[in-house]
Amino acid sequence: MNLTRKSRCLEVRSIVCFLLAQFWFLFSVAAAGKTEICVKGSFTLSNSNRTNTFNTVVFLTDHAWHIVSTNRATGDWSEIGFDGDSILSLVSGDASSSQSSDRFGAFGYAYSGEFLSPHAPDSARIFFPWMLHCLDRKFFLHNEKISLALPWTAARFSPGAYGYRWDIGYLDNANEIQTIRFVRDRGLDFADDEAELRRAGLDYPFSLPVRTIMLDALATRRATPDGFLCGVYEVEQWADSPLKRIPSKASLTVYVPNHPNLPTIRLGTYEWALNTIETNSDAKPRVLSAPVRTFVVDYRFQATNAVTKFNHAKYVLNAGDYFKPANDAALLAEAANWLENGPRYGLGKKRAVVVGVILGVLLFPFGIWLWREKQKRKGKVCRE
Amino acid sequence: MSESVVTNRAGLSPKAEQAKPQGTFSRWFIVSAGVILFTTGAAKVFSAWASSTHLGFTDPIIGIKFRTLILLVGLLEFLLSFACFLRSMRRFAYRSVLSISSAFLVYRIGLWWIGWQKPCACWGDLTAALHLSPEFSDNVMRLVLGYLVLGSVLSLRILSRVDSSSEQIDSATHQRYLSI
Repeated sequence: MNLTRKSRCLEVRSIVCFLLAQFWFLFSVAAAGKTEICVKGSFTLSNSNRTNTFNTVVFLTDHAWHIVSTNRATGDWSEIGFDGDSILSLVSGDASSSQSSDRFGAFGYAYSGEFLSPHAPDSARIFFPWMLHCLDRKFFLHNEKISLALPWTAARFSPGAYGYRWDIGYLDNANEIQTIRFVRDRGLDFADDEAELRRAGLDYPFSLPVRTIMLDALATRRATPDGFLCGVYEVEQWADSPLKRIPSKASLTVYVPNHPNLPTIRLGTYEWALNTIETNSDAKPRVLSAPVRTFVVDYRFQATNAVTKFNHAKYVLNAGDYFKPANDAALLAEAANWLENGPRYGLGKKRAVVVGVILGVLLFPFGIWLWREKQKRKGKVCRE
Repeated sequence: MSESVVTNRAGLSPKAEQAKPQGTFSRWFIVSAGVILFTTGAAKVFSAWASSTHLGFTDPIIGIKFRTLILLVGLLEFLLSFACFLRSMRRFAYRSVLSISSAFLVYRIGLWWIGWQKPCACWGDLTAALHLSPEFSDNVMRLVLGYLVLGSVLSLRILSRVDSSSEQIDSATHQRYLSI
């Protein structure tokens, strides 16, 4: 009897101990943070004229990533991070061509999702380390039917970034991407120019000059022959890490079509070389904050309906400020207000008015002349 | 006795006499307009063959390539300049200069209205060849455009006054003929 009671006591004690141990383990894991690997390396961009070198540091966890890239020649930097929901990016002031202003030391961009479709190309060329470390099979499982933008372009303003098929080769049928060939595929084009301008990934041009430039880029793309190879990405060597395999040697060569009957132009070749992989078992989440006064273009607030599109929200961050959350009430209200009262799609009216007036002033003096001649003739006939 | 218009020995009314020096202005104006149109037209036609990248872009208002537009407008200006030099086509030339310069004016206003900030490529690549800044040549072209529009309006007005004077002379001669 005593023995049974003793053994039961022991059993309960062992169960309690086991549960306590489990709880302690889970608590300690949660408190210690995630396992993170830090990949350090550099890449070069070479074309016929010169070679630029870029230093890169990449922090990877199982669900988030953070990349910093610096142009060694100019000192321009770019930082980009994915928090599980959206990509936040900071670019040094001089690097931003589209909104260069002395008032802002940096420019910020926020994009929904994990696929990088840049607003403007940055001089630290951060898209390349992103391709190396963040692209994997999951994008292409879900986005098979979607024409993805070429990441080295200003994809939000250039219709030329679309209409290319990504032919992908995986490493031993794993998640990692071994090769990508970016091939022109006219089957991915929309027949109508207006439909092309309304692509989800593009900023709809509400101003006629921007629209004209975008239509020119679209015309260039439409003229690009089917099957034209505009980029070749290839990983030659891999290195192992606790999280996943990391490219240790890779390259991307970008081409542009030349005039008919002339050879293709090689725009440049990116070559990546891995330096070190470090493991940190106690990683804390990294949150991007503005280092200086920063102008932000936030695509998380993009909204559209049948008649118009709110391309993106814009706001300014002071040094030390964090990006606004994706549910910021004021910016959501701004987007809703745009959808209700903003300018409508299409810009034909202004152009039609100007062309009409030009035709009018071209013909008006001759019309008046003819009318007066007729009157004169009538007068002569009357006098006779 | 029939009503008659007072005329001098040459048969011109005082109004027509006043219009005489103004008619000289009109003649000088149309010759200068011819020189201007010849120069800009030739510059445009030559520029259309240049390999500038901006010529491959689409004009935001007319909707055709800059190269085609510059070539067409250059040819038009070129032809019009000959009309300015031919005495038999003077009347047509005055109206054409007014038409084309007004159209240029509307085009420029249209560019401003749609927010196009770049200088107009009216001289084609001639500005680069002469080492002139695009802004400077743009300002020069604005002045030239103003001269063409105002000059052609003024000239047509003078012409219409001369016409009405000669009409009066015609009718006076007609009346006199009837009274004989």
